[in-house]
Amino acid sequence: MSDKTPFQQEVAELIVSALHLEDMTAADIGLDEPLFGDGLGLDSVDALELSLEISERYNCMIRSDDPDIDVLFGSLRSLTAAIETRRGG
Amino acid sequence: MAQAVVLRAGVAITRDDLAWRCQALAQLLETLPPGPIMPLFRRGGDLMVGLMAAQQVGRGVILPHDEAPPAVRMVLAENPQAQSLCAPGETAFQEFSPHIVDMDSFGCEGPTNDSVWREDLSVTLYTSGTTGMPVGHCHGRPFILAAMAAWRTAIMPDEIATTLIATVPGQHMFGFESSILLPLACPWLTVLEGRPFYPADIVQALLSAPNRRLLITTPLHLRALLEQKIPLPSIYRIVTATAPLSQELAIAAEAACGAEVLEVFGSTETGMIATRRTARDTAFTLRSDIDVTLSEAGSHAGACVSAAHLAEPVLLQDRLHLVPGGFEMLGRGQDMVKVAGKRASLAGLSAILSSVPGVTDGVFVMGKAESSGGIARPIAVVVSSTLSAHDIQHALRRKIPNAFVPRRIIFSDHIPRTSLGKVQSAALMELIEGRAAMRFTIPADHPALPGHFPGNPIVPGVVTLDRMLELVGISTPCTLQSVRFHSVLKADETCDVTVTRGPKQITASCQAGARKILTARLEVGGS
Repeated sequence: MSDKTPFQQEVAELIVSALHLEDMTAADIGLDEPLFGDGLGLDSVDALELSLEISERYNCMIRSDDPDIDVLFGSLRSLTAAIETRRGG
Repeated sequence: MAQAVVLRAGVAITRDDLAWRCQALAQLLETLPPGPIMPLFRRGGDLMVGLMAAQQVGRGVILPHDEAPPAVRMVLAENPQAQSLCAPGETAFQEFSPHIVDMDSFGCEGPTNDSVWREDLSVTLYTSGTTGMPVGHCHGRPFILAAMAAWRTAIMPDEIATTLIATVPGQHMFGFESSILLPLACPWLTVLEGRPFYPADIVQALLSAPNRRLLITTPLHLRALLEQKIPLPSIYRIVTATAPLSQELAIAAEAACGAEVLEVFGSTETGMIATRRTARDTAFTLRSDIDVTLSEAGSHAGACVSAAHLAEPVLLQDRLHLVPGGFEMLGRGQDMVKVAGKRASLAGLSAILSSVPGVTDGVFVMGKAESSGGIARPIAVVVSSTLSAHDIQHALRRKIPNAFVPRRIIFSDHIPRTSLGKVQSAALMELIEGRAAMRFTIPADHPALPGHFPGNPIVPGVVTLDRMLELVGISTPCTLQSVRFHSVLKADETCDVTVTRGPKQITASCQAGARKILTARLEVGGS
């Protein structure tokens, strides 16, 4: 699990701390594991919470009419890629 | 020009448009095998047409509690005769072989007749159920007509052109009453279609509203909207339900956009029964056509709701205090919990947990909200010698709604029960709090951290050891015999401490999730 970039590691830590994922650490979040549904098991409440944290920390607004919203929240890899292209833009 | 009932991406859909579509859909429904209609339409306007067309041809309407395929699958299993309908391109519903309905292709011309609600109208709304199986609540024409009148009186008493923006789905009782029935009852109300979810979506929808704004939402969306600190346009009214709204949040929302914030009290069984302006009032004002009495049934004091439009009285799980014209809510019954608008019984959840192969015993308790306005999630205490937390979460995800899958699972060698098998809640809480006290986190700004591995702060082993021994609380003189460092601990990672105390030796270890961090052995007394 040490193949994460520092930024992917940072976002994984943000997910764990923002969503109070007890019994989980950033290391438990696989790069390509689905964040929602059967993967990490996050739900829409988490999506809302996470979007707030992301916009606050990276100045990157999340909207559901983004054409790639399902891809964006699909995995840690796609989420970090999306934040990197939009942040501070 | 006729007032639009729905605004779809800027295009007005009028009452006549709806009536034409309704006639075209009704013709199509006549050709389907018998059975109730399950409209799986995501667009509110399509759901309105589905409801009206189904009742026009004398078929009942079934609305699953969730659009997610597992919920639809369970509701279909309960209603094998149901004919499901969906829009083209809905791949998520493919497995149900739905009838594909392309409403955009329906012609809009010719005479229309005003749709009337038939005597045999029936709408069944589902809840996720407390035992893992969805439960349907069937409502007839009197219920629908009474709901339309009550919402109009409570929410839209004047006849000024207004745009309705809803962040909630239309197949849930709150969304059904507010965004499907209310617009059908008020010709001056237009629904802005699309269900904005993130704060930026909601603000954009509000800004695009051509008239005075009515926002139908939940306390969670409302809190997110205010926290995002995007300037809000003025809003006429905000209506919330699904979770208790705090007075602080209601006051902040009223200040931010000039809205009156109304909180709706209701359930799938009863529909809306009361409203209050939370920023100002503690009591809910009861709907004039509903009666609430307190009843004592065994050890459960509950509130009983009755009305001419309800098939039978409904016993609520909430504890209420009656005041003239309404009631104050004291809390929910001990066993009932609500997460993200879904209700469940802790006893029901515990029974499901205990049925997971490999779980010897298990019990659910409700945790506390992590932050004010945040949501509380359930915690599970489990006895199992073979399963990991992930195994248990994975098994539960197939049986209960995601919102109730515990984020925190506490393993214990027993669950405190009386000789009759009843959980001793005080002892259980002690066990949970004891575990909470045995966990720690070294923050990134800990004075020992700067200088160590800049940019990727790793906690020095001695800091971890020191904090762990402090928590273990060594009161007798001891000698540290050995320490093994298994892996590195990073700043902000949560560590759980476990300790076994023997007469001569104490072993303490800590781990971050499933990863062992360190083990220390101490000799009691020592040299």
